[in-house]
Amino acid sequence: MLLLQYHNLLIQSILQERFAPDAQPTLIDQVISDFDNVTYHVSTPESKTKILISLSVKCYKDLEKYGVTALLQREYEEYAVAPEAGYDFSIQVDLENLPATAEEKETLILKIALLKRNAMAAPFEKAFAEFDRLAAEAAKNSLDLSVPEDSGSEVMAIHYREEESIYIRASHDRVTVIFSVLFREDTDRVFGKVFLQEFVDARRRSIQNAPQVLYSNKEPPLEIRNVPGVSVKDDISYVTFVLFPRHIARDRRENCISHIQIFRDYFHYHIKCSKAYMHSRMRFRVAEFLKVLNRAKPEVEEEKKTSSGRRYGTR
Amino acid sequence: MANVNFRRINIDILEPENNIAPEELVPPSIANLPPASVAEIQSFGQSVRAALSRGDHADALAAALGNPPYTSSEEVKAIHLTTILEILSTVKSTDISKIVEKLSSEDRDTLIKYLYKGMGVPESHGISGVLLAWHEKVIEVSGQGAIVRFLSDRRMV
Amino acid sequence: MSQSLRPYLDCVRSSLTAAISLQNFPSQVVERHNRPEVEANSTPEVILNPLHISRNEHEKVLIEPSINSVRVSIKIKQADEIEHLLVHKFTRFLTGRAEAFMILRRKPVKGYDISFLITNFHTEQMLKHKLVDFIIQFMEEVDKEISEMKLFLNARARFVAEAFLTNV
Repeated sequence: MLLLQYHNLLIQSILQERFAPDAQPTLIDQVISDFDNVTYHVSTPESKTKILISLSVKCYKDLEKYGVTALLQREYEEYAVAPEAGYDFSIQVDLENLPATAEEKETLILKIALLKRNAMAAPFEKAFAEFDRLAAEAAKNSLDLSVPEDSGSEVMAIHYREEESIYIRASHDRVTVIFSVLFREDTDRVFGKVFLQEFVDARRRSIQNAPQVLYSNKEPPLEIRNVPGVSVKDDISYVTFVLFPRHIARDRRENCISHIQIFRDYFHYHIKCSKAYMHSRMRFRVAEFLKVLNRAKPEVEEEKKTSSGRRYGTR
Repeated sequence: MANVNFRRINIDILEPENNIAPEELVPPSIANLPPASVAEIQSFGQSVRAALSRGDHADALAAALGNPPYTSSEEVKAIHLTTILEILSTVKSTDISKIVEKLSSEDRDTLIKYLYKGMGVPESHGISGVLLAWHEKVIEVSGQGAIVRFLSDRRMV
Repeated sequence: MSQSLRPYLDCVRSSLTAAISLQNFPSQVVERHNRPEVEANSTPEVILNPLHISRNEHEKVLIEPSINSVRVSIKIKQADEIEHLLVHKFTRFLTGRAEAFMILRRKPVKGYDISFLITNFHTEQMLKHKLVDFIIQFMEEVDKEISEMKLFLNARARFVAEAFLTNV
């Protein structure tokens, strides 16, 4: 699996099971975790046929500023209910009142499994709308589009993890998405550097129409230098994605949002994969070395000895 | 119990017969050699370099190896090591075998000492390849015995 | 094998062969003890001159012989941060399995990455020339392994980055 899926697999499988035509309604009470401190609670508080799915996002306060409530209402209109205590957003599905066809059911399941993605999409949508406005304005004033201009539009900060944040800023010719990246471990830091460097180089090397990626260590990029709360620490680095109009064309927007969101998880996932591979490789190499060393022992071995050369006592 | 640590006192140190100090390991054959001074070893280095500039690599090396400052201070030894490394690095790699064959077996053993010592000091990292080449050639001529003699020889260069 | 590696390994091979000439030797200091003299370091007369072999400042071998034990310490090439990390991980992986490797020392000598301690008991059990072969092969393969792992990491990073960016 090279690319991560955008939806939550566990929610998907639970609902698929429940939605199956011959499924018996049962009690569910399950807490599910997703990336980036996101928690779901799937339960049947009233009756076995009514499934309540609640979402808790650490940065919901940030998201609220950027219109997440409206967005989620729009996406889940008829299913949205008052949020469950301790959670930020809830939807309820009535098993007796499901869409008729299997395809429609499948679409609904996928939509619910994408709860987190949709919640996190709010600031992106806002930024893209802002971009549309600025671009139209710039066209009206017949500004030269190739000259980058400081539009003074607001930088949106989403503190989606304890120490890491996403910053989004729209201007008339691009949308900039900046991730702050922090590594807990030395190994991750070194591996991460290699990966990030490749992200930066990828555009130059082969994929000309990829977004531009910039990587800076310690120094926050200019765009967010004035944002309050941007910490200047030795171990934090920043990754900047510059999305050009072709990436945020209307038909690609949704995909782009999902994809950029998953960046951190994707990138960490592959660091972990590399580590696992290195480990299995070392295991193999060590076994090989042992074989070579064991060749040093003469073939015939009459009796076992301890490594210090002593014989085992005869009983 | 005033002091429990009495068990930890190394009483052997108080008994000179049970101990051999590192100085006592110096073999008597060189124990009485007069130590060379810095000035002496430098002028010796000059004369060797003079031979070197005449293109007399074999003679220069033999002279330098024939008279190692075994009993002198570390400073003097370091100067002599530099002299020898200089000779070794100026010889063309194709000439190494010829020169090694010309040396007496005594001198080859001394050369081994300088090779190992040379590889142990940080200044020689640039010419490690040269030293390894010399090592290979000396072992070709003298055999493993040269290394064993180096290991057990207390006449340190 | 590269041109400059061969003399280095040859030198290590001949030096090791000469240095592994061990015999049983009970401690002169403590009665009924029999310990590797090179580690105990309490009897100067049974410790022999140490051998330094270096290929460059990053690759060195130190052989410390004594009457009943030889300590071989290897410094593995590490050109950058990644290699340094990989070497560290790999040697830690090995020393964690020192039990299986009989001759592996649990802690490397200061300034080196990995150390072996060969005692007379090992040479009584195992064939000396094969022990030397093992150390030489170890040195060869470790370098290869480290650079292969590094290449792999780069290749993976490149692939991963391209896969991500083409899909935006």
